[in-house]
Amino acid sequence: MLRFLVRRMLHSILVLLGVLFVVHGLLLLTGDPTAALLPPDADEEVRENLRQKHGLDDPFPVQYVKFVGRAVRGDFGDSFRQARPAFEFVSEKAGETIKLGAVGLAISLAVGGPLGALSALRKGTWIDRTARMVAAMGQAIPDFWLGIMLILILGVNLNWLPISGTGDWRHLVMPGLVVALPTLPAVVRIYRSSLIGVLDRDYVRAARARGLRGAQVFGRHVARNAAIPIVTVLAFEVGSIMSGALIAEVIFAYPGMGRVAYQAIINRDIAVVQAYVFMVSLIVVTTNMLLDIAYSMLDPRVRVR
Amino acid sequence: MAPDTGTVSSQVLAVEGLTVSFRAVAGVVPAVRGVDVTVGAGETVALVGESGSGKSASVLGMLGLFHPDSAAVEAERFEFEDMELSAGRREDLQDLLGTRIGIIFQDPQSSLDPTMKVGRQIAEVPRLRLGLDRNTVRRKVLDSLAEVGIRDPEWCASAYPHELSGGMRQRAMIATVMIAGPSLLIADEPTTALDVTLQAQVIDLLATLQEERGTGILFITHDLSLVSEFADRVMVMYAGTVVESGDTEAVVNHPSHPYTRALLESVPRLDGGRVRPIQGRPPDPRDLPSGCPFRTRCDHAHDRCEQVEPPTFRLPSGQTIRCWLGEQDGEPC
Repeated sequence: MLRFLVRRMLHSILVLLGVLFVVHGLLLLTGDPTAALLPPDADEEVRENLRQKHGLDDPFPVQYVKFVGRAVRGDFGDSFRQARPAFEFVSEKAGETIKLGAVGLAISLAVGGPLGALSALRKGTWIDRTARMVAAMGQAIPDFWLGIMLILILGVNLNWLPISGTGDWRHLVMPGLVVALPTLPAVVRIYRSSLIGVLDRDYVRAARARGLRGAQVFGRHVARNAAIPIVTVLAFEVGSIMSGALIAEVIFAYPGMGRVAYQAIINRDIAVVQAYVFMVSLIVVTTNMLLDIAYSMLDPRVRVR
Repeated sequence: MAPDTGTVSSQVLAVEGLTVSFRAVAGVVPAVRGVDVTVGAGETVALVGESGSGKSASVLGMLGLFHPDSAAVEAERFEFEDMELSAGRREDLQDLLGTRIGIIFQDPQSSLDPTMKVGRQIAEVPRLRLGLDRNTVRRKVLDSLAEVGIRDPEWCASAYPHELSGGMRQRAMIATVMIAGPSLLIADEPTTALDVTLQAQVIDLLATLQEERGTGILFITHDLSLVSEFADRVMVMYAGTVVESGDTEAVVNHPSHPYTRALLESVPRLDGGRVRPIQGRPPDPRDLPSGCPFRTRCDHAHDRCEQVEPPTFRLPSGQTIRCWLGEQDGEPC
């Protein structure tokens, strides 16, 4: 298990180095940063000073190595707009975003799991058809639209939930639903199809032949085996949860790092955007590692001894 | 494996006129069309037939292991031990399955849950069905693993199925089934997925367990030669009916139904006799030929076989056959 973890971590570090390469390349691809930071009539001397300050006059490989060297220490330079380290903007808000992502994920699993199970166990009935329709709708609805509709209905018309900011759990409900939107249908579909497959397995028939009752067979042999593919899907979904969080944070004025990044993009504050992208990849890579561990706990066949 | 006395003391299972029909999109498929089965305590009865002959459908159907929406099961009589039950009714059988009736399936690889330790699976019946306490269950699990010939029961109990060899897996499977001491053991092709040496070991093991406990065994197989070594009685199934039935001795040494003869000739033998495969394929149960279902593949078929499905005749050699050839020396029964 330890060797597995070490190998998995080395792999993650490699991924992060790749991400940093792209993140740094992005800066250069967006054109001369000094053009965005200085007024159009600025002196060439002033521009040259700024380039030197940010190390933009070095050859690309040198820039990259320097950039990586600083990035691993959480140093993405100062914000281009405010004289504060860019990473601070992101790191101080990361907790809020992680909380929002976790709520979205929890909603996806808590609603999608039972819905998928019901759909599989009542295959071909109206329950199944309804669940699948809900899933299809969930995939078709854009998240920003759902956010606005939630605000309109639950927030303004019914006045049940606060429409912005943070505070208690009620502030998390609507943004959480928006974050859950793309992942929930995936959970329903994957769990449904994997349950249908598992229900047909010989070991399920054998368990029934041992006289176990329906709920016992389901709880002991079906649910767990059918959950394995969900873990695989979640690994893909972490990225979309993070991007959903950005949209939810903007719509609901939720003070997370996604909103910080959104403002940084509008302000062309590239250092903050870089710090954000790095932080998101750090979260994605870490959760993927945790999911790998969950996977090996669910399925002993992939367990590395 | 035959009981020493030669007489069957008590019936464990008695089924008469069993029918199983599957509901398919294309209509109702009659998979089993009137089968009688009895198994005595300590007796081994073999149900032999090609795939699709209805041998597994009979057994799984009468035990209520098909979903009631997908299969209709009926029988004129269905008795287990001294209980009058209705065939295929899950509610009737729920309490018997796993405790009084054990079933071993063909593929031990797929019949064990890959994500659960072997010991926990074996413990399910004593723990969940018999409600024994933790320590008793643990002791029973280890005992039963030792009993099926596992050398290191402690290790085996804490291993996952994929960590065991094929033979060990089938032994573990047998342990899950035998742990409650069932009076009827149904073995659905338990050795088909194993190689020949393991086949022999598993059969020896079943025979030993049977001798110790007096379990009645209903052994489903497609391999008539395997049966001759240990079954007391043989029933040969074809297209949902029993075409020949009797003591193993009589059926194997004097096969009388043309299908049984053809089956025996289709098995390779060490003395180099020529293998004669049976021509054609088993009929589609949705579209059975008129009269005798075997007539399309039978060397003896004549006009009458096409018109009327033969009744069952009892032959002087002891067995019964469902063929017009039996009319000559046999008595209709």
